[in-house]
Amino acid sequence: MAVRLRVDQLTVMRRQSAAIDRLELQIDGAELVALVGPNGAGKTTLLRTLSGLIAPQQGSITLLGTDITHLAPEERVKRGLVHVPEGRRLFGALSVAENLELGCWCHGDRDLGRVLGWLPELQSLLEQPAGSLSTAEAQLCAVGRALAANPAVLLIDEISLGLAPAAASRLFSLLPELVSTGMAVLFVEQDVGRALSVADRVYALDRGRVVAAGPPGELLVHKAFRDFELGG
Amino acid sequence: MSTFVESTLTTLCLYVVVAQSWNLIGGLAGYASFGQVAFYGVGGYAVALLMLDASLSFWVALPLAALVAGAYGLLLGLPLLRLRGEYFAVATLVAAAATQALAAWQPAFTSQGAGLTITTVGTHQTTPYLGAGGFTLLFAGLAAFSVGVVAVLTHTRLGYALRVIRDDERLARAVGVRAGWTKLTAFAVSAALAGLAGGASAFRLVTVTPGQMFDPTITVLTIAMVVLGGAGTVFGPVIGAVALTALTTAVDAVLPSSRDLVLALVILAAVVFVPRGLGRSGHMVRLFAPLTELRRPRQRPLLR
Amino acid sequence: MSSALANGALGGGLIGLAAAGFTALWRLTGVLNLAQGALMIAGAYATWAVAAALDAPAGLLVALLVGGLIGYALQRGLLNLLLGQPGYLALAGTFSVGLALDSLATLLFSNDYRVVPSVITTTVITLGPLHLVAAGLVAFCCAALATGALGHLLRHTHFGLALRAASIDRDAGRLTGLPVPALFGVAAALSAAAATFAGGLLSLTGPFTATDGNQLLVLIAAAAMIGGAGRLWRAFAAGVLLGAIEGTVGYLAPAALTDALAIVILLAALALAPRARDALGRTGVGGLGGLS
Repeated sequence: MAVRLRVDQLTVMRRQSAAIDRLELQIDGAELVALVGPNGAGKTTLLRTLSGLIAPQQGSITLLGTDITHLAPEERVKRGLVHVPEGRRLFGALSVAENLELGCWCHGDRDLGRVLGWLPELQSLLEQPAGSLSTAEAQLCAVGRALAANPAVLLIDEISLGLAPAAASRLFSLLPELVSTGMAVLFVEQDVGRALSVADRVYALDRGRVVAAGPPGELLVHKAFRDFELGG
Repeated sequence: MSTFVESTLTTLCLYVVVAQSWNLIGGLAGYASFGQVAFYGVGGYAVALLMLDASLSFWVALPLAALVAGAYGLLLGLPLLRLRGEYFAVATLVAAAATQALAAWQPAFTSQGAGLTITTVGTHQTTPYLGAGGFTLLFAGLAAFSVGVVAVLTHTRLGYALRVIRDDERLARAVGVRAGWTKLTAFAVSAALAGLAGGASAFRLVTVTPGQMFDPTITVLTIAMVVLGGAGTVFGPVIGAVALTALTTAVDAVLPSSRDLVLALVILAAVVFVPRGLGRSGHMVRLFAPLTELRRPRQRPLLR
Repeated sequence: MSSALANGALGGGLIGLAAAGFTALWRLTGVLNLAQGALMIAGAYATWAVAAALDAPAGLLVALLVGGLIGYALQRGLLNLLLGQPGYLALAGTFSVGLALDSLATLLFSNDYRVVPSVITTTVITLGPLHLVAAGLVAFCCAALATGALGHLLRHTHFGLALRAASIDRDAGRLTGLPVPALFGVAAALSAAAATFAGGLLSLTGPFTATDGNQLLVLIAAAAMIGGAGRLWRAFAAGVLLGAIEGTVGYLAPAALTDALAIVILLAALALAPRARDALGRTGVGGLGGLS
């Protein structure tokens, strides 16, 4: 089985300086991987580059053995790489059901049963305009829209930002469920403690580079990571 | 000087005037007018009528024509400058068409669309025809004047106010810029400059017709010059005028019948490849990006 | 005079269809396609040429195809590249496309007036006090149907849903897997096809020439502005209204005055519509997503 997602020597320039600097990252199979780091470390830029919204200057991105570095975002979705962007970016004027159905566009099967199985909370909201949802509901809807595309790798930016603790816990409890069905999940989380407690592996980013990577247990003794956690 | 050189120089200077006229409202204030030709035409008709019916000298008629065009700018600007973006662009386009229609309809103005002929020979002439060299001098003077107007305005309170309006009109109002008055002034000055160009052209052409004086192609040509050269800069429009003069002269010499077609294609190329203009720093990066980035992974536009 | 008004309104239906296409693209991508008038003439020539060899319905079909192809190429080759750039670049671009189409038509067909000869062109139907030109009536019905079909496609199909989503948020659309560049291409194809189809109908009802494009554009733009970025049928109704006014004024006064009247109506409509001043102000696309 090919490696799920592999990032090689990835470099993204923003205003003359590297926002992502020769970054290496690999997800082998169905894992729950957290991306942590201070503001401006390049977490969001990395996710946007992976999903194709930003074109990298150097390096390659390989999904399930295929080089997707130069593919359009929608092509990446078709191949199984789906990104829940920062700020959720729901289609506010459309209903929740329509948002979820649009998530199915890449494979054409508009059955929402599987998504609603994971996120039964959305069932009662289907007819509501997505713009009228609460932050927690909107985040569920955004994840649901991404899940509708049957991702092999799911990217989630700022997974718990702005959520009440209960709502955040709800989302974090969903992640292992997704992984158990064979999905790989890469998520960005501000709260390092929480990220370490749920993730199988963690990447710590600073100034566009990976400063530490590994299972949470190993990371806690890693010097660079300790410095970074104390400092950031 | 040969006639060819003189007529090319005249065209160049005419282009500079209209380009600067558009630059004021479209480049500095960010209000893209698609009806600039209306003021060019009004200026032209004003000169023709003042010389024919009022028997005024051209040298009196030309400044008056600029005033008339400026006043017409005020008149149109009052309702139109309340609109923004595309609404303004299309409203000015329609306004120019309506102005042309009026010029074609009003019998007193135009002998119903057949055109007016300014008397340039015989005992009834008010001003002797200037001849090729004379017109080159006249247009060169107007071009220098228009560049001067824009250069001076850029460094006045009005110029700063216009740029604040362009970048954020709400902010401009919040910091105390009288946006309505500022825009109206710029529009009127811009209209007056276009009127000057049209008035001088009318005398040069002798015969003015609505189809010719209000040809919307003039507007697009003007916008193309400013876009190509760099909107909102003082010398950008001059660069654009030079480029388009070279182009139109070459096309007229080689393929006169497909002039509009070639022009259209060049404008398209300008819009796609140098949207920020040749007159700005950094333009070459985009223009030559396909060449310099061959060795590196290409930076592609995300929508295609 | 009432007949002049009615026949003018029927002719206005063609403007209305082209304006509906214009409005659709405007709402979905934020671009005002200033080539819409030239596209109408292109459609008229396509219909005229094919009708001479085959028949009029085949000509209309070819007009639809021609419009679709030009529209798709225009969006993929030009307008998609200009998304996010100042709006006047797209306007200048589409205007020069119109100029290119106009000059191509002039080169190919010269400036002579053309009309597709047909039986119904000269037939007159009398309805009470009204004497209606049969060809105009048929063309009006076709235009109304085409406007309805376009509206249905955008509002009630899954494709229309995807298009509206893409127009709300292009990036989010792409991240959801929508092929936004192609979707916008199809939107432009539909919009241009509306214009060429209207042009085809125009060639069946009266004479046209290569240089009519600009005048048509002014009427289309005026109708779309009066309709606002609202529903398609409002643009269609505005076209009919302009046609009726043109017919009536044309009956009473010189033809050239009608354009001047169109501007007066347009300015009044814009002055009365506060959304014109704010809605598109900053982004050029704001608030265009809800196609309801």
